[in-house]
Amino acid sequence: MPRNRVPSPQTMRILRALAAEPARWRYGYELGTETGLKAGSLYPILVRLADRGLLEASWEESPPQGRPARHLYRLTPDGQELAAAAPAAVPGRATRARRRIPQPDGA
Amino acid sequence: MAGHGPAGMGRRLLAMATAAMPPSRRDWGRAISAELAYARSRREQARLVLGAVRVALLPPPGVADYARDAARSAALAATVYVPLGLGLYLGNVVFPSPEDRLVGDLALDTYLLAVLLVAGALARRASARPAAPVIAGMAAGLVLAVLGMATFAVIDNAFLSVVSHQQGMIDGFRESGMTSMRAYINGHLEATAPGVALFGTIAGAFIAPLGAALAPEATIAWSRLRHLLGH
Repeated sequence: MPRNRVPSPQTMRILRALAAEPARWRYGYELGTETGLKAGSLYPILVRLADRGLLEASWEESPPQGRPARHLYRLTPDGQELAAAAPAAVPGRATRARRRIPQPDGA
Repeated sequence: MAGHGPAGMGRRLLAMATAAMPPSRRDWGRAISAELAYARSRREQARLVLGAVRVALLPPPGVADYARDAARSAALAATVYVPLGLGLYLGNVVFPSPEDRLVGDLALDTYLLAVLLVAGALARRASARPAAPVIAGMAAGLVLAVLGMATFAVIDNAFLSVVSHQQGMIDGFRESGMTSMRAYINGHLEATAPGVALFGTIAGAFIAPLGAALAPEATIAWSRLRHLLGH
């Protein structure tokens, strides 16, 4: 049986953002804004998710006039399953930083 | 317009990055290029270009997974080689046989066969990709061959006085017409190493898939045996 690797915190952020409204197609820019990931990190993660069959992509049908059609993304059923099965909270950068800072008593 | 200024430069870089992507990934390059028209600042444009470059640098689909299969199998082969290397040392240095350098040939071959079969079975368990056992077997076979040749190189040079009493070495040295036993041994190792590495890789490619195919049968047989023994 193939074993799935634990997704990185950045991948989990994308999975959660997409899983929040699984039926809705999302723009890359929108995902980047929502997850706080820059395009340099976002697109390689989206590509890997698509390679693993966790993400489906489609082209925008009616783009704004004078602008090119954009790619849209949403999770496949396998992607939704992975997002649902993943740990509830993956420590993000901010959480890890807080851990390194000694907290006052009672905090 | 498109051909001038930072946006034009960004478009050209994106086109180059897209061209560098494997054909199955170029749609991603076009997707990132389309986003460029919506970018609100030069910084966003630069990040989109970086995203496209990083996508272009990603290994083609499946390659990274196969690399992991190969690495896992190579690690297994290196680990199980330890007793084999010890056996070669014992058979050639501690308990040398003047008759034949490869004492216990049969045991050695059986062990290598078992390692390659297990590598294939483990690759099948870890991955559903059809070529995974082949890749795993090639990696294991290559590692075993390289480590084997490296062991002989160390043993033959470090314990030349012992090894040089082996009948096979004496005969080969005599036939070679060389004047130095060390030069003869090292020349022989250098000449045979590529062939051994190739043989190990090919043998692994054929034997490991057999292990993958036999793995379910072996699991069932093992369960039956345990049942019969009352476990």
